[in-house]
Amino acid sequence: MRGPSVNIELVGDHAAQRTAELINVADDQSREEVENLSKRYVTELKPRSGWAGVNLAELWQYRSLLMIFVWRDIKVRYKQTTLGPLWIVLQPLAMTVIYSIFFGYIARIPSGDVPYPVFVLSGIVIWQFFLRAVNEGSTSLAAYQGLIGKIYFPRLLAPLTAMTGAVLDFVIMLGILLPVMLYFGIWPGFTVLLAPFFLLALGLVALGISLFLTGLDAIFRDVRYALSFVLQIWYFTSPIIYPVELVPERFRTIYLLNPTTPLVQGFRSAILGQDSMPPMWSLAWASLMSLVILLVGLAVFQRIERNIVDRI
Amino acid sequence: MSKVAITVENLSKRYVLGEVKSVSTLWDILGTSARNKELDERAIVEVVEAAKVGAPGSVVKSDQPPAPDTPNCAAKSETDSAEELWALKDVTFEITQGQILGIIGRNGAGKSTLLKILSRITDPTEGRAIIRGRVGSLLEVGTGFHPELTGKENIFLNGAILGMTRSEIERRYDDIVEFSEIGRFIQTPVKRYSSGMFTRLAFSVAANLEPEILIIDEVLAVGDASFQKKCLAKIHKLMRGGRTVLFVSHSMSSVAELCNSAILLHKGRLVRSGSMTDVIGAYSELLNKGKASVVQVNKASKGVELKTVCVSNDTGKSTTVFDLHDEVVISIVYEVLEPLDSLQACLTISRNMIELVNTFDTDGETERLPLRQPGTYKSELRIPGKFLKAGSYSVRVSLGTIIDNMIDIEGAMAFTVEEMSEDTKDRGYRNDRLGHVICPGSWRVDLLS
Repeated sequence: MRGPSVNIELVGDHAAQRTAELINVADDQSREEVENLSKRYVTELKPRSGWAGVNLAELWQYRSLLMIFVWRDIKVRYKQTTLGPLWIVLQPLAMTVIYSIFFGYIARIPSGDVPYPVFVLSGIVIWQFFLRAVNEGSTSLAAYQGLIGKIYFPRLLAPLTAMTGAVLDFVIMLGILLPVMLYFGIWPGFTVLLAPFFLLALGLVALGISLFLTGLDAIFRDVRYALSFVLQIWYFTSPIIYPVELVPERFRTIYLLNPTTPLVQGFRSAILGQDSMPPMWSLAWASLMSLVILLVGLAVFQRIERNIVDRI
Repeated sequence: MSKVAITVENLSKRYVLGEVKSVSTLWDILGTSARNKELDERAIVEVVEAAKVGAPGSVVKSDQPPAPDTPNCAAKSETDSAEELWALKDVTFEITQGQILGIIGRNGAGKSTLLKILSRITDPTEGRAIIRGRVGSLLEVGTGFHPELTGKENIFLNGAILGMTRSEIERRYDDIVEFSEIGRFIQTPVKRYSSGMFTRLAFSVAANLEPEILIIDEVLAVGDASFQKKCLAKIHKLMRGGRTVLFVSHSMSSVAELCNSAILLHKGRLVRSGSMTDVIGAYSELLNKGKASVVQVNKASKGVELKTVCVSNDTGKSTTVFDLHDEVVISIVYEVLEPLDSLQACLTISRNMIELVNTFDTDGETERLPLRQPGTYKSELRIPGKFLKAGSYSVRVSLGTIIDNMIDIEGAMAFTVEEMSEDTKDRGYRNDRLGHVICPGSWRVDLLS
């Protein structure tokens, strides 16, 4: 009986040895991998001062986190709702009906060569995009406060997530604008190709404002209350519910200095094929302003972001 | 294999504990002086904790000169009367790949601040750190977890937080789920998880995403014993594979079990680094230094005066830090000023501030004399080793007769019991089990049918 038992032990020993070898091989492979990755991701942590630039390579590396943040926002926003994303289109639709009754039908506000409902809906859609981008963007750092205190990710992802969400909402809102246009017999012409430019410029303005405000908002919550008030005023000083032509001629230049004015008007003209493009100078001015606002916002954000954890 | 994973050079972090007002201008935030005016609630908490554990001098009022032996120096700020706190000061060390480094120190010693800087949550004020590899941190259970998302979505969220691509995460997904023992609940929002499931998933994600550097703060204390064992095995595997682990814990036994070297922080400074036993020795010395093992009471009341209370080990050496296996000897010296009938002493031992462990009184002991003549007496209580579990203990001393309580001093003496010996295989001693004492007992299991 002795023989077999010795034999079994040998087999056992052999197996253990094999396993150990396999583990060693696996460990060696892993070590090599770790060494390579360690060489790839080298970070220097030191006090930063002055006006820092943006690490684009790092942002790119974290792109999947951006997508997950966006997805998370959408999911959390519409949990326990039955209509879900339908709410995005219901609001502008309801506003269009109300405005059409009061401003279009009762107050008889002119809307050029298109019916008032289409006119006002196209304004509401682009303004909703701007509004949501600014609102969500400027409160984004505060919203990510819990995460920021515990883990690292490029802080720029917070306002960028809000921005991406606003773009997605806008795409959904287009889904209501197009049927309404077709209903009133308006077919988008080739000018619609200009629309992305206005959207982009308006997006940059919104992003710049968000970046400027979000760090401040995380520290002083006064910002969000003041902002909602300012946006209300901004809404009425942009041509959403009335056309630019309604503004007296002598104030027209000042009125067009507001960068959202030519951008909203331009977007509407492009998408409805209206012959009321804002003057070239105002578009150039608005484009310049959008870049300036973005750069200033970015600089302020980069400056505040670095020690935000110690303040909130 | 001596590739360096983390280099830390003169790393310092300053917090300013000022009035909120002083930071409340826009210009302060944008201006260059912004870094000098940080207000951090957590820093205040750390200070309070530091003060609680008896570290006077960790914060010095601005208008007083800093004590010479106080490393956490505070100086008057140029612009306002805020207090400064160096949560970390001139910390320099290096970690090689595949090392498991324990970071030990009291509350408020700067451990959390160090981890926060290394995991890039906050910037250092001075100095620098170079990190080679991606850092996965588990600073609190479930950080980076969103309650509304499912377990699966949270795994991807956490992978992305580490800067991993989708395919990298997918490659490890099955391992994570298997390790966490979550099973089919992986599709359930984590808000419905039990705390145990939550912890398992959190650790599983952090460890199995296999970042090059893993930072773990005190999380292994939760979870059941078998899962803890699994976690330790996993950490060892990570280490063999060349990954670096930083581990912070108050439990000396788990640090000793896990780490191959350690650093000791005290008041923001690095006071010792090196082998595990060396650093733990320095730590217990440090704890010892903070507490007096002989307390002069000198309190007289109704014919009796309590003079001193003293704790020592069985060799008679007075100390306030004991190993689990040490005998704890508490003696009180008191003077009876007038003849007293049936005087008795009573020592009440509490663990971790509140939980009552036992009342030891001399009632019924032979030492209890019918009538005590005036004179100085010493009563000594011996608590055997392997009886008190690891923890901090406080002693309440009472002296009295049947009809009158003469002296009653809450917290007259404090001492700590630690698991310093590495033999902690007997899980009955474990700190996370309910109960405050280790009580002998034997089981017998019979098969009845």
